[in-house]
Amino acid sequence: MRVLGIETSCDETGIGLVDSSAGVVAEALFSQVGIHRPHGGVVPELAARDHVRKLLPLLRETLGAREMDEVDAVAYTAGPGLIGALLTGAVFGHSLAWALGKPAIGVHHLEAHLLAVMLQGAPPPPYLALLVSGGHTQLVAAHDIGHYELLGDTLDDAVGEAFDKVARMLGLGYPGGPEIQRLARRGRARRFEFPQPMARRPGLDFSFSGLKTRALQTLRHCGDDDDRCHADIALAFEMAAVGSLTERCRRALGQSGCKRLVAAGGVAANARLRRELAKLGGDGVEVIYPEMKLCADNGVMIANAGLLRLQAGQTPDPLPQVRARWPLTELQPPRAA
Amino acid sequence: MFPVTATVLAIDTATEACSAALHCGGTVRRRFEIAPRRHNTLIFEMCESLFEETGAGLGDLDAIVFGRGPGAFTGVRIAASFAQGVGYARGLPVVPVSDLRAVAQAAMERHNAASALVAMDARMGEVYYGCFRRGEDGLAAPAGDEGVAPPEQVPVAAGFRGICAGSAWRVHRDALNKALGNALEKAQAMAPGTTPERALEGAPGTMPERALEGVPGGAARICDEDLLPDAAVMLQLALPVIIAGDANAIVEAANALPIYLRSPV
Repeated sequence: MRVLGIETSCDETGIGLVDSSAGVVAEALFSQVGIHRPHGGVVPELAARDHVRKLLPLLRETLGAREMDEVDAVAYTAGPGLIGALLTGAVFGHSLAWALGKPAIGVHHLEAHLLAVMLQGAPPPPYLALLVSGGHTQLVAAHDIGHYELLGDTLDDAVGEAFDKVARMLGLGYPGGPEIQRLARRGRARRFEFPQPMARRPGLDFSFSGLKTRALQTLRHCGDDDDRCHADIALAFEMAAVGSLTERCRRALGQSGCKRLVAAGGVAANARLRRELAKLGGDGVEVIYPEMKLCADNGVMIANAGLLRLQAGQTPDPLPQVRARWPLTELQPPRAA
Repeated sequence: MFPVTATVLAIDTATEACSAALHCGGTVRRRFEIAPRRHNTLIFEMCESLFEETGAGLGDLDAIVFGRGPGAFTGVRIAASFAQGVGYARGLPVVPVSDLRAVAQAAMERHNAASALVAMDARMGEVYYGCFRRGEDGLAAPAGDEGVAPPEQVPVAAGFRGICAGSAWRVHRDALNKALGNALEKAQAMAPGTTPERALEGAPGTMPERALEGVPGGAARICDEDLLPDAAVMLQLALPVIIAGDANAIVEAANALPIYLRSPV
């Protein structure tokens, strides 16, 4: 079975073609980062306008010399995400499938992230998953496909959002993650030490707004053009944020007795996070992260999630419904209607 | 070039109305519903029901017509995404039709008029506007550029004579009337105690415009605020270009794009 995947939940237009035996067949991605950068964050209307321009050119690029006939089903992101952006991809994807009399299926964006590591040969759940992006910071017990338990969530900002905001304070570009990572490499450890958020609180929740405030307060002690000082702040922030994520994962592994940890989402591309999470491995614990290109939003992971559900016998969606808000825990295992 | 018997599907989702129409076997079947926020699903249901009624299928289609805007941004994108998906999957030519022009066509037919000023509510204190004149073929043709502006700033050609239509006349009637040089009031004054529409009744056979000749500063004697874009009207506007194979009006699926008129930020 060969499934076309379409991702338009935020600021990436992604198309992917995944085959049940051959894996990833082809993919194309357009990142709108350059469009949103002048605004310091994603502008929903700009995002939707660009999706509708890029979907068909990217589909053509993905298919190359292949025909739509080779596609057995179409999967599209049905939520959560920006409503206007979601609708564009969902209606486009559904109409492609509908016009050819093929099954269409709406996919949960976060489930697609959680299952993306299966594209690189990782076995299916159960595993613990750390979902980290500009919109989410969650620790999830993935018991099975469609059966997720939320163990921890952020009480305020998503970690990616905190990276963006601190980057802006430091006069860095958008998105903030890669920028902070770059600047932090020149930072001096221990010049500033930011306390790890929620370190003394039990449980598995996260908080990043205090850390953000701490960065701002520290910044006031720097001179205007004090590059060294900025780098030191970037490093202190990155260490505390990553430390908090890693510490919660350590706790969750201990509490659940689960032996596999999967990182997913855009922030899973952060080098320090990958390094620190790797240290949790050993003693029978396996830590898995997606390849770099699978961390960011993409069409391949949507195709993969759709393929897994259709193969498990899920009934296709008769209409393209989308949901801006859609808790992962509301998902059901694949089933026939 | 397509035969007159071409099978053509038209859809529009640009306003609170959602509509679909199918030209098949020389006749047009239509679906129309006021359905805010349900366009993404309803449009598929409407098309399915048209196919069911006619026995036609997606494989029979010769072309797709869609309302390219202006209108609600999300709604216009739903129509464009639909036209792109179906157009690409089936390799069909696509005809984008202006939503303002569709309202103009419907208004001119309903009131037997030769020109129309269409203004649709664009929210945020603005309106989408466009002026249209009825051609020899009976179809509305643009008489100037479409645009978006506060109602009192809608540019109206001096001596405009015709009818007014569109949802903005409900919301911004006074301001639009001012932009027209109070033409609505003048029209009303001609027939005291009656509405402008009534004023025209009882004058069978006369062109409505004629009835208003002599009104200084131009005149708009009818204000039809209830008309919304309708896929069946778009079908009517697009069929001649499809049958003639007019390369200027037909695009490939990748160019089935919305016209927003208003900038995004």
